[in-house]
Amino acid sequence: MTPKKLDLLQGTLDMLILRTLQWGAQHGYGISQTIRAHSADALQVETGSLYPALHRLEKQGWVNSEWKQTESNQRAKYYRLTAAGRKQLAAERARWEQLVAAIAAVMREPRPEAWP
Amino acid sequence: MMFRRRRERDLDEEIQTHLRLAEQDRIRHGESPQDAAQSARIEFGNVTRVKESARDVWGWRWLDRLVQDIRFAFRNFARNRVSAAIIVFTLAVGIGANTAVFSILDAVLLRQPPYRDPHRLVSIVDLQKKIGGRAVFFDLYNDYENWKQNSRMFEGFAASTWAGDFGRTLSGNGPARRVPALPVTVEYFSVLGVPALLGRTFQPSDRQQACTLVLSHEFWRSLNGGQKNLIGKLLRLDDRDCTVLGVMPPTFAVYPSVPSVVWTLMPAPPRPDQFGVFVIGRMKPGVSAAQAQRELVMLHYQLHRHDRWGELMEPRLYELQSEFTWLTGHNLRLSLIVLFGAVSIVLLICCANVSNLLLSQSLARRREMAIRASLGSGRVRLLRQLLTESLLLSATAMALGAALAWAAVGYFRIANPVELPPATVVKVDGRILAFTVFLSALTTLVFGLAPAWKTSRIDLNTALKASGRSSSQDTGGQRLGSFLIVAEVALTLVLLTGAGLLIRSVSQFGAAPLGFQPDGLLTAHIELPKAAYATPEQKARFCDNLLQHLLATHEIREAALSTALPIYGTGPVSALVVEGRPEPRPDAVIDTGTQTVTPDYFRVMRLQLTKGRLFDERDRAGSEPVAIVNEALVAKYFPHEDPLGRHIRQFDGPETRRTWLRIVGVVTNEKRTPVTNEMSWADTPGMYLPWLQNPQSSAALLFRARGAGLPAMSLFQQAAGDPDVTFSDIDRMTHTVAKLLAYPRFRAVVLAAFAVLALVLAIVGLYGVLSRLVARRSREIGIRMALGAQQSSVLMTIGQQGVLLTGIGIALGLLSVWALTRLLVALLYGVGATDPTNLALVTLLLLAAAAFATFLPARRATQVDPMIALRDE
Repeated sequence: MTPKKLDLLQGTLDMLILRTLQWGAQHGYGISQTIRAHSADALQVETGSLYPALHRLEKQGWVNSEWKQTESNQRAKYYRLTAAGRKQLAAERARWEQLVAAIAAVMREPRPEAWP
Repeated sequence: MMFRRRRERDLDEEIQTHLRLAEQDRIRHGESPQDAAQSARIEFGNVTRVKESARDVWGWRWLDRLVQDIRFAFRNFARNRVSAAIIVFTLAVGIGANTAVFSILDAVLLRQPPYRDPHRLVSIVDLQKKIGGRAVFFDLYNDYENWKQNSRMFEGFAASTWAGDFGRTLSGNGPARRVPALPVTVEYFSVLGVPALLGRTFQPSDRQQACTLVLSHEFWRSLNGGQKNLIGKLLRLDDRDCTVLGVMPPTFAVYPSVPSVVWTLMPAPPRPDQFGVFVIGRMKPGVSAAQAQRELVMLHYQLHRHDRWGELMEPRLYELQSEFTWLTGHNLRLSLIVLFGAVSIVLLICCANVSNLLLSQSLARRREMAIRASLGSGRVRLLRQLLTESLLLSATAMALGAALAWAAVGYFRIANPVELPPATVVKVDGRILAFTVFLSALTTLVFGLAPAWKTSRIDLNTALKASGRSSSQDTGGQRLGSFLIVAEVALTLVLLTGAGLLIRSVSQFGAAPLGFQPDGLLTAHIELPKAAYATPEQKARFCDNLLQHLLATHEIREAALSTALPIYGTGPVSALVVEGRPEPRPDAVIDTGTQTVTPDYFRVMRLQLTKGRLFDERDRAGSEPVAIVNEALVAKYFPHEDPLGRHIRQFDGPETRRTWLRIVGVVTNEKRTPVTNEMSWADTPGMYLPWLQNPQSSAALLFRARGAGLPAMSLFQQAAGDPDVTFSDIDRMTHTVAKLLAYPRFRAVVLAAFAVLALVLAIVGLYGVLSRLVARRSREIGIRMALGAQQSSVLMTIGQQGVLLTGIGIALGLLSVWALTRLLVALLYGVGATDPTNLALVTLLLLAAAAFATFLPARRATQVDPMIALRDE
């Protein structure tokens, strides 16, 4: 277990999944591994969150799924980004960047001189 | 469902793939196959949890949970079969009985009659000012004319009458028969605002025609099954040809509610100042009843400024529907209100009992709830489980209760135990069904959810340790339960008292001596065609012949004629003048009845002669006019004098002078039912006139037969020797008396049924509370017995509790009885509202039942084995 394990912000997992799928169709295990690898092991997605999230995205029509063979020739359920999903990802990314910028601005802001 | 299964399989496979891929990855990174499989699984976490939350996304879970909840609820009911059945049955009875009674109440008292703008219709009746109370006298025909011409507040007036015998003889359509024919004025149907179904109703030009008719739907159907082309045809009534103008719709009905009836045009009476009519008025829109009443009173005094009617009477307005209800049964309104009150009490007791049962279950289930909570069931989840159970209970009860209401209302419509006002249609009322269902659902919800609410407040540890017994929270439930029992006992006492009073009234009323002998007395109605028997001699000769022929037959032993049917017969019709005393004032109270009888009347009735003589052959046309009076008249007018030989006459006002009658005899009283109160007997001052001095063409035939059965109609026809004379309504006097009792008896039986139901419920409730007490304290009882307490002292402890609850309940009940039974006074006969015997009996009954309910749990307490009770932890 990595000591620096981070908890995901509410709603962030959906964005990460959509982002991961931008590079191509992927199965559930693959998605969790990708997120882990790209975050240098800092983000470990719980399966208890991953699968409900995948199913939720599918229900909302942002991803669709089909059963395909893996490289190791096993049957797995692959998720693929839909057009709506792409739009959603763009929206979430924009919102995320605003949020980060805003938080960063607050964190950088020096202490006010005097309280009104 | 197919779709859902496939999803489920997909999810399974997806998770398996995940585990396999993770395992292979680990092997690739150098772990041993066993380690890899295990750590992949550990890393994955709880497979079931993952599945559940993934499934949640697709929204099937609620359905799953519902099915699960329902299944669990049924398992729970199966485990507590008796209490579930009691809850459902109790609620069903409460819902059913309430809905049925209210449906009848609604149909009779609340729903408007099917006339146009019924709220503007009023009846106008005269009140005898000296007596007060409810107005019961017909208005005079000249009042009707006066109002019609001079009123500004009213759109129109209509008059009708049902005084005396309103039958007519229909001939030329099969054998001659009597048909009810109500004389009405031209505006009758237009004032009520109901058009004819076929043809038309009366119009002013019809007054020029000899005789016109409007038929009720049922009468029309009874003529050759109802032919459309009957309109404009002739029917022969009382030897006159009458033109049929129209047929009314089947829903049209007015008082008196005879379904098969014809309406004829009322001819203008020869003496409009002496002819009584029932007047219906339609007020103009926006006119209040008080304004209308003021105007009519003013017009009344203008017209009667100088006559006796102005001194004696004053018109009163009543809403038409309530007037019809009153005419149908003077106590119908009160009876329905009393029954509805009773059934509401039953509903309250039902709800209290169900609350109690659910409460005791909730205490028993605290442990179960605590265990489930500690195993991770959320509060919402527990709440939903209990909600499902409660709703299931009330839904089942609702279905049963609705069925019960439908059955009861169906029975009421078919059996017709009570005469209802005209145009009353009783059907199950959806609103009250909804209300009672709401109330019972509320009860089950509030008390059904109690355990979940408690669970959220108590410390799981304590609850689990306490093993669902004797923790401090228990006392709250116990206190509430005790309170409910006290209320139940009090309400039950009220119901039992009411039922007891009504039952005693009916039996006293039925057993009251009538003054005459109804057993074996038979009655029939006889009607002579007016044209063929026009003169007094013709009538007298016919009646003499008829009685002789009847007595000559083998079947008839005794027979007599009278102008009044016993019991219903003559109430007060006039005041009395005694010769040698000043003439009564014009507003003298109308108190004396008059009836014409043949000489054998007193023997046939078994009335006793106390003074003087009966009528005999001396009393005929042309001889000295005589009268026999009853003891009530003597008591009122000759309290310390000898009435024999005194002269009296009816007083109809100073302007009329009847002949003086010499009193020749005094007979004992026969009981009559007064107009204003159906549940009482009156000794009306009365005088009897000899038939031969006043022969009539319509009479009640009173006779006693040799055989047990009713004689055939043909016997009378033969004795009469004239096919145009009609006989009808052959009946036993005992049956007539029983009919009078039927309605009060029905009322008493229904109230008694409710009272018994309440008693059973209260006893079940008391039993439940005490049983719970015993169960809760069995450890304490065990300890006390181990320390040497006697069985009797244990019995006392529990017994005390029962006696205490019942005692407080009875005390509160007695207070309520004192306040509530006064409402019943009008329904009582021969027993006071706070009759001590009745109260004592009812209290004893309640105590005995309570003792029974207390004894069983108390005995169980004495049988507690100290060893078992102490070990049972």
